[in-house]
Amino acid sequence: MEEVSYIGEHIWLGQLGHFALVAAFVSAICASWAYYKSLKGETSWLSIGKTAYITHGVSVFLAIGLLLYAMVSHYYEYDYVFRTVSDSSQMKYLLAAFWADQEGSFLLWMFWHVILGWIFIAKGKSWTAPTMVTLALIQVFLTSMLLGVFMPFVEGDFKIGSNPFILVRDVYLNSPIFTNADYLTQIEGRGLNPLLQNYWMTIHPPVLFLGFASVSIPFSMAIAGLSSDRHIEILSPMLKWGLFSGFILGLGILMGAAWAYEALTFGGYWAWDPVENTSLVPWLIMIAGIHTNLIAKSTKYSIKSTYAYYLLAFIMILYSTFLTRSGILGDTSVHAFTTMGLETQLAAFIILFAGLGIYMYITRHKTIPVKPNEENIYSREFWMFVGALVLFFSALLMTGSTSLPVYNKIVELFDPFYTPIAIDDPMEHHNKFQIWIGIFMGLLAGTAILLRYHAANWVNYESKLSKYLISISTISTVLTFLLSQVIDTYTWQHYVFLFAGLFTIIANGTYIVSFLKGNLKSSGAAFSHIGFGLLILGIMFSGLNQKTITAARFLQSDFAAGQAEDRAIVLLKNQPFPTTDYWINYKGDTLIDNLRYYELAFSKVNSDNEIVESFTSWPSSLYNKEMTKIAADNPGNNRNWTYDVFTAASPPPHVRDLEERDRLEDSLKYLSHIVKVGTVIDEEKYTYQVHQPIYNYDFTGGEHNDSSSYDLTVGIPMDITLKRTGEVKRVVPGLALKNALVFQIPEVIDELGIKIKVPDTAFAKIFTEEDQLDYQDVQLENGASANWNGYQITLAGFDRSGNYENYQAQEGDIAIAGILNISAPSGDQITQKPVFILRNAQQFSLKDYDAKSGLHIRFSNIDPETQKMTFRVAQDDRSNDEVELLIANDVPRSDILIVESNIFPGINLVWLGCLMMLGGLLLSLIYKKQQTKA
Amino acid sequence: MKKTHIIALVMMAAAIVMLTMSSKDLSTFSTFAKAELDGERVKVSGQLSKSDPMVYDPEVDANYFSFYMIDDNDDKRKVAIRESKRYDFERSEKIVVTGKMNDDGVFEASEMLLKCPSKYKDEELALRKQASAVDS
Repeated sequence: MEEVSYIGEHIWLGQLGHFALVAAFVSAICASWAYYKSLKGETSWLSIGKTAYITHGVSVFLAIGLLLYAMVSHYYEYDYVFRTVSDSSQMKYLLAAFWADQEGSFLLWMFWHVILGWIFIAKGKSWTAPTMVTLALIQVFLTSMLLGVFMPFVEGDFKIGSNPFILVRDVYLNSPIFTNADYLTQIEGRGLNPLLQNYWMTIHPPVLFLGFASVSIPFSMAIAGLSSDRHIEILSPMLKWGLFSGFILGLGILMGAAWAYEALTFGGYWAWDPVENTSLVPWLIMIAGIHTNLIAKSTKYSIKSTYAYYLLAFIMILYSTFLTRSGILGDTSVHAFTTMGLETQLAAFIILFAGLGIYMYITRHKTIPVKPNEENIYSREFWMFVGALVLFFSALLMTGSTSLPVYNKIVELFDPFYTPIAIDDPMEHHNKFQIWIGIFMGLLAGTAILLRYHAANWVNYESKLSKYLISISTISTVLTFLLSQVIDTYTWQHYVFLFAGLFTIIANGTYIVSFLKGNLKSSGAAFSHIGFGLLILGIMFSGLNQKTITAARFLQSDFAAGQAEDRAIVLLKNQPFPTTDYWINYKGDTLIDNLRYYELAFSKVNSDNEIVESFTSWPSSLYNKEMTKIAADNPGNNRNWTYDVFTAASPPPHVRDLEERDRLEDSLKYLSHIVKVGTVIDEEKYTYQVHQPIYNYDFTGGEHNDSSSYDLTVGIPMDITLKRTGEVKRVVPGLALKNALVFQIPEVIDELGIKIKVPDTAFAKIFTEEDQLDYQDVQLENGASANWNGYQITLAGFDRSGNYENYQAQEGDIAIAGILNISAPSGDQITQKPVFILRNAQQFSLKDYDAKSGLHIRFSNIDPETQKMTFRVAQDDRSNDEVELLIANDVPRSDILIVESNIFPGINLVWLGCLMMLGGLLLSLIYKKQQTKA
Repeated sequence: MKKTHIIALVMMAAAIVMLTMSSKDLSTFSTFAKAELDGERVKVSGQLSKSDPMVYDPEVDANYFSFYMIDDNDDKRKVAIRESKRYDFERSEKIVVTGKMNDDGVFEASEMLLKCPSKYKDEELALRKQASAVDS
């Protein structure tokens, strides 16, 4: 292709950005190497490592800053900007757009590694160097994902990394637009997917990626610990980072669940989607690691498993990244990233770090001190260890099921005729297993916390503990029975699950009150366990008692497959509809910016027909930036202390999309009706009467809601009487002129399924064309009056300003407007300003027209001697009292709304439980920090 | 052997047993032809046939949507599902339906997964459009 020199590109930015990424890559290698060397006793390398990592961080920040700058400046020559930003993008979604795609989210991940690394350099003390070796190495690999270097001498398009600063014209190589040097003026970015234009998209990814990044620290520390002989010494700092990681990663996942609940996947906070599972797995392993780390710190047991869990947590983060970003989940997940062409690199990433972990563990585990006797079966450490195993077991099951697509891919490699398999109903599959995990966890978390490390003084403690356990179990049993009356427990497993939840709440509550004497600072663990118990209750309430209130009360039987129930209902405007719990009334809608809000009034009545509860739900539709179609729906949520009501509303297809509407319009059959003004016409379901046309009719507001400004309009008022109800409706279909184009403004009467239009051809009949007009002269002196066909015309003065409608001044023009005050026979007062122009010794006149009276007036001559002005006056021929209308029948209603509403009881227990679990981790972290300082 | 190790091994074994026993939770990706033959509940993946009619008329039934789908064996069948028409259904690149073939040769789906394109590599670049609000 010929070299074109393009106009308006900002090439320097991409070059600088790519340079920053290469610098980040090189400096990360330097940092890792320097820190490694420093471990060999050469302390001079330490400051080199530090400088290199600081340089690395600055380079990463520079790359991020440049990409953000390109996005703010709408530099569409960059593919990443083109993909995520559009002209109408709002600043508040800038960050959301930044991490919406692969490269940006890698940068976000790297950003947190930089921050955490810097903190570690400042605070890590003797652990800094050995930890930073691995952390910097991780950064080497993450940076390599963004290098965008094509490998020479390798077959195919093998490339290392995907450069976020790649140009649009290097992506769409064959697009003809790039033959144009000025192509930038012709392209506009696509903008952020409307589904992601959400505040959750601004806050969820940074927290989740901080969570991801935080897992690297316990991993790097575990490598550091294994390579040193200081296995005991590392337990305390490693626990703090583990707690931090457990807290922040958990928060990130929880935010994802809250987003799913609120907006994305209508119908729940957790769907066992592979993307969700693979983020939960590292967290579960991290929590297992925290537990064994606690054991190790207090008893010196379980040091090996602590290392193993921390190593595995990071490897599972990498595996999760591989699954969600390689495109391998394709058929099984709704929200996986699209492929970036870096599967091989991601797989290599996992193998390398897994290899590093396994190698370190195998070669070094013999140096880990082992206690001669095994754990006492009545000790806390024994049961805590079992609890950690249960967590690991849960992660194992989840990973196994989620890895099915990987299994399929591998088998396909060897057997081309293999048909891939998938889990039929992931919800049922996972719930079936994980309910048992929940049960064991609840029982263990309640029991282990009451036991003592090393089973200290067991002889005396045994009877005390038995009493506690017996009374806690009794209370839990009674409460299980009571609660099962309000929860729809279906199977005996549900009873056991409920019992386990209550057991852990009461046992841990007892622990805080009776054992810690209310010392909240050291009650982090018990606090988390109570949170877990509340989560179980929340899962039971919201999961089992959840129902679709719009579901049909009688299942339709003609549809055999599955137990599909009819979930949606159709609401007609202002016709309240009874559902299982509420009457729902669709009262109307309001457009605010590009969001259309539907007003749905919910009310619950008792047997005496009195309203006992009422509220309004506001689901909405988000239009695309051209306002031609609805791009996303937001459910309306009504939050209460004990239950939430979620309502999704959607207008019918022909209202959602202009294209659909045009298709529908084309399919309508209009019949012409020529009707006399004033006559009542009788149809099957209605009668109608047409009135005199209204000129300059205002179509803005009301049912038309047409905000365009027109040059000229006419409305044909009609009264339509519905035979069924006797109701009379006034509608005004019409025509409008704008820039010499005629627009039809139709009316739809939804109750009758009819649509009424005025044909374009009627325009010429209503407004007489110039050559059909019969102009007559009226001569006036300034201040004089004359009568024309009953109109009293007075020449009130002149306007010499030169600012007249439709007038463009030219050099040498003499232009003057006569101001005519006219009294119409109807009593109306009209002011007209026709213009007289003398241009190049030739006379012209600019007509003024009054649509209402139909008067056309020209200012045609000035006699300088007599001071007489000649005006030419004509009027539209309105003697014809017939109007042509086009009426179509069987028009689909547009005043309907398809509504699905769900009620989630006890959902706040889920949130409260999760927040308490995380709060407990935070509490422990703060407590541990204070302990170290003291 | 330590007790904790025994418990760990037992759990590992249990996990493997549970995962292998859950084979009845699995279904294979099938084709319309096979689904018709054995009448089993299967998953079929394919594409929307854009030239054939899609029926969704909320005034008649808000919970009935039908369309034509071409499976991976180029076999075109009518698919019906009891739910309202999903947003941007036309744009779906790939459809995975789970259900059974009925006696009339219509595939009755109880679940449907849509894969929408989030990148348009092959498409033409979006040109700057003049905002136009033309009323019909």
